[in-house]
Amino acid sequence: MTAEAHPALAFHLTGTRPDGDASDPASLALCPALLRNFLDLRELRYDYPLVLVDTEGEAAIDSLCEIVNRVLRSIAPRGLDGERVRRNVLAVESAIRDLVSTRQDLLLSAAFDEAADRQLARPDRSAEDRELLLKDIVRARRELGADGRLVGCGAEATRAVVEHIFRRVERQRSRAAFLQIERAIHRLRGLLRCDDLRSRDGRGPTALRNAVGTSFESELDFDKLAEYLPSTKAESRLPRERRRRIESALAVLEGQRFFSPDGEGAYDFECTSCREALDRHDQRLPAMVDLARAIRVAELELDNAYCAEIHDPYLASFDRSSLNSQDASLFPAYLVDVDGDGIGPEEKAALIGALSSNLPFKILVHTNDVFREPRIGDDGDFGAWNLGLARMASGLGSAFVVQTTSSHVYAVRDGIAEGMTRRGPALFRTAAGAAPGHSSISPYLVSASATESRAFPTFIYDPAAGEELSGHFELDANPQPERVWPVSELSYEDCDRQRVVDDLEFTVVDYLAADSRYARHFMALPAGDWDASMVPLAEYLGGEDADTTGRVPYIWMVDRNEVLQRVVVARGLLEAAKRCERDWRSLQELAGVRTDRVRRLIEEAQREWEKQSMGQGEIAPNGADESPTSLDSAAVAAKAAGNDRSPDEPFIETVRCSTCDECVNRNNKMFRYNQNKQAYIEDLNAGTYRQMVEAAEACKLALIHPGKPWNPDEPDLDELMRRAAPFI
Amino acid sequence: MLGFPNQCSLVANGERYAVADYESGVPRWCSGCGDHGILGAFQRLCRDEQLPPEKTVFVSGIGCSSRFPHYMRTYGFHGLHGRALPVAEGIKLRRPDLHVFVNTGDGDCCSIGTAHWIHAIRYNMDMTVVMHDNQIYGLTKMQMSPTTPKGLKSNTSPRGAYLDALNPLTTTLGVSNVSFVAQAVDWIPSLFQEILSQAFHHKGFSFIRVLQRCPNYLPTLFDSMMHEPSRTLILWHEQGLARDPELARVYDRQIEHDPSDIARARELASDLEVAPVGILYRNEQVPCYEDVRRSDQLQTPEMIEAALNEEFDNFTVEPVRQAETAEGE
Repeated sequence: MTAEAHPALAFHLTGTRPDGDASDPASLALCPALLRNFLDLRELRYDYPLVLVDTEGEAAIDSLCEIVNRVLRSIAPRGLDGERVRRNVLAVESAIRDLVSTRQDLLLSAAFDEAADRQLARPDRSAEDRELLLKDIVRARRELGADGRLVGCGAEATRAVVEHIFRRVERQRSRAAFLQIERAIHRLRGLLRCDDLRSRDGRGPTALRNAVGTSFESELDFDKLAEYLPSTKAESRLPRERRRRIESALAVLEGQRFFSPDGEGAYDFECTSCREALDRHDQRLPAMVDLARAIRVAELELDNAYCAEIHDPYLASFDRSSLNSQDASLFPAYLVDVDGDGIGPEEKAALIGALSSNLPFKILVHTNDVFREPRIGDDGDFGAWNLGLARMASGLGSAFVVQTTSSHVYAVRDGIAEGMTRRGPALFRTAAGAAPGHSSISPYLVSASATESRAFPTFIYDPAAGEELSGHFELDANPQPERVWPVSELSYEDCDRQRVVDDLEFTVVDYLAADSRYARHFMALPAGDWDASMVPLAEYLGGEDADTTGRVPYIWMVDRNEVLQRVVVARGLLEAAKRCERDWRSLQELAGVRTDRVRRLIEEAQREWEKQSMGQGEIAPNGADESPTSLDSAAVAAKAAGNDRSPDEPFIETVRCSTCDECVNRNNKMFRYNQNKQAYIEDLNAGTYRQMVEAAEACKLALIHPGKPWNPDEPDLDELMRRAAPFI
Repeated sequence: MLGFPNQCSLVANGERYAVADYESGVPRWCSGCGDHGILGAFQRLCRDEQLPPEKTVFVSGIGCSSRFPHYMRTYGFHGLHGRALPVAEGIKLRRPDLHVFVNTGDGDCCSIGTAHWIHAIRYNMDMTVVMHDNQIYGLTKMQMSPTTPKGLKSNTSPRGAYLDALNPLTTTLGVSNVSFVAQAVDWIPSLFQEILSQAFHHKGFSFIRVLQRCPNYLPTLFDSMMHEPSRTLILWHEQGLARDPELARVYDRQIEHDPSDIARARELASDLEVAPVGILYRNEQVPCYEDVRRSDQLQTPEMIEAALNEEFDNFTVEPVRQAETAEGE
């Protein structure tokens, strides 16, 4: 076989194209077929721009699209009027998108006003249209709700979102902690104040004068009053040691610098390297230890639970090793913003150290380039660090992990907030579609296709979510998480001008085909050269056991004339595709989405169920609903158990006793209450059979069964036995 | 205490409270009174939950049952007739860290205290309220109460009560924000204990009506219910009381009732022939007033004084001079 005889196969195997060939996607301006309909985002409504909401009590992140939907649900009725409102408000939404694409730091309210002005100023509107538009805009503006900064899907989007959530969470945490500490200070001061009031000075003329105030100052003789007040007993004062302890704790609480009323402490908790964060944490540790110790003292003192024998030695040896995970959740967290594209070996080591530390390091590792410059044949790197970091962090077991592209950050906003709130470390691994090779496609589309193609799947790993590993992973934000590659419909017109609809998988190779840096691994093939050896890439990748000899994998792309092209993929690139597939399958396995073992277990359970069904007829669902027959059986069984006793033996149905005192008031030596304060017979010989029978008669619940007399010498036994008969 | 969960890993001592630690004095209720059983159940609850006595408050109004706080070795407030609930609300609002219980009788709650009762349900503050319903004023020697059955003769209704009795269950179930309603009878202590426990764990206003015997004035009132188990309908559900096979030995009328179904709860509560025993209604989603109104503001004496002064500055009080007064006269 020669390259001339089969150029597609030759290219696939060698990655080299004939001299002068310019059939690569970049030269031909090809676009992956499934992305074609999304190239012009102005026509689409999607999550972006996002709104970073500042208002407390509102969700930290909102989406313009969602906000407009809510507004429309509120102000647009069904019918023609509603349709007009929808059209007008959506036009404003579209204008806001245009504004955000060119400007930064716009507030939603300001952007809405400017976009509305633009719409109103359009020359093609009639006066009547303009009037109605103005009316709709005013109503919509009123319904906008919380305001905040707008963020478009650029390189900084995920960073902005993560930072915003971090600051909101930390502000709340700091404010709450400050308030709690202030309360403790207030109450500790109250203890000291009470003690002061009991002191000699506290009952002296000056204190009394201050207590009365100026209104009646002249009416009273405070010196005399002080003489009349009795002196305080020494034991009613705080012990000196306790007072010293409270004052010491109070001094630490009052001097703390971690929290403030506006949520901003004196320390800076944001930095750009894990090493720096670790160093800062180490420097602040002594102050943290002091504050944690003071909080413990305050808690114990305010609960009046301080026990010197136990707590003195405990607090004396209190040091950094005494700080536990709850302390970690009390103190502010650190936000570390690491440049994922330029991370060096030392920072990588510090990153792993921080994630393993169980300390509240919230680490954002952001990259603009999911697949770095290709190194095929060099080290096969393909950005392995970038792609594997989040998985690696989840393997540590202690860190909360969120991995997402900027397109999907809105979908995982709750996960990000959870990671910020949770005590302990968290990794936010994010990627934007701002790699140099994707300049012809919008960043949103690039990042969305990175997730869609499994190149950079979105997932959340929560180490505290249940006992089973599969419960820790969440893949829901990915499209069709149960499949290896997501499938979408491709609709096109064939040579006979007939509409054809095909299901098409979107693979990581489709994603790379849009990156000009990888153009040399693709070769578009004229329709005349297509033959039976060509197979769709997903099929080629999926057939692990199949013989791919002589097969040529291709993907569909569209050229600038809207014509579908088969584009052959060089074999070297398939390594990346296979690795992505392997990683994705492994994620699926971890998340319990698709595993051979689960499938086997389900099949076994089904077989077992069918077998039981055949053997027993109907099976009660979950066995939950017992039939009346079974209830009767239980009652009968219980009754039988109750009747096991000997009728000659006196006894009380203690568990049914309602503590009415009837029996114990008659004889509290014979009848006693147990630890549940329900009656039982303590000592028969401490009373008479008459008392037993009378107690039985008095017991409204008939719980006392007198049995037979135990003292044959007791008088009137015949009469008593006759009276006892109904209760035996 | 400071809101930092379990900050201190060392508890001062390993002592556990026993029932006796909650007992105080000798109850002066008559022998055979249902109040004894309710008292025992509360003491067991405190023991089971290990409630620190200094963190527990029992509040009552006036009536036999309202002597309750005297017999609990915790904080207590024996208040005015019908006014237990506003006192309890004030306590809870100011000290949300305390466990607040209210004991009120049928007269205390359903007569003079009705307005407070209705609004306390609506406020849904986190407290457990037990209405001791013996259907008579016992403390004032057998006077008719709002729950006295029609036709029953008492010292204030010698020809028999003219009106149908007020139904505390349907009334409670009809108020906005109702979040927990249950009925118990004092002669099935195990059920009452379980209901009380679930009421205690419910976050919100938990209302339990306890049908309670008065051996002195109405000694036979509940005899028919006690001797005919078919007049007791026990409600069980996975979200309510568990089925008890031991009880089924005696009380064979048991149905599954979903406590989230308020319509069915009202239907069951309206049945005057059969007494439903169990949790009729529970809704954990109703917000508590103390949470709704919780302020992050720290209220120190200085701040309160400053706020009062600010208010007082709105008024001018002109001192009346002695001489002017004399002239005026």
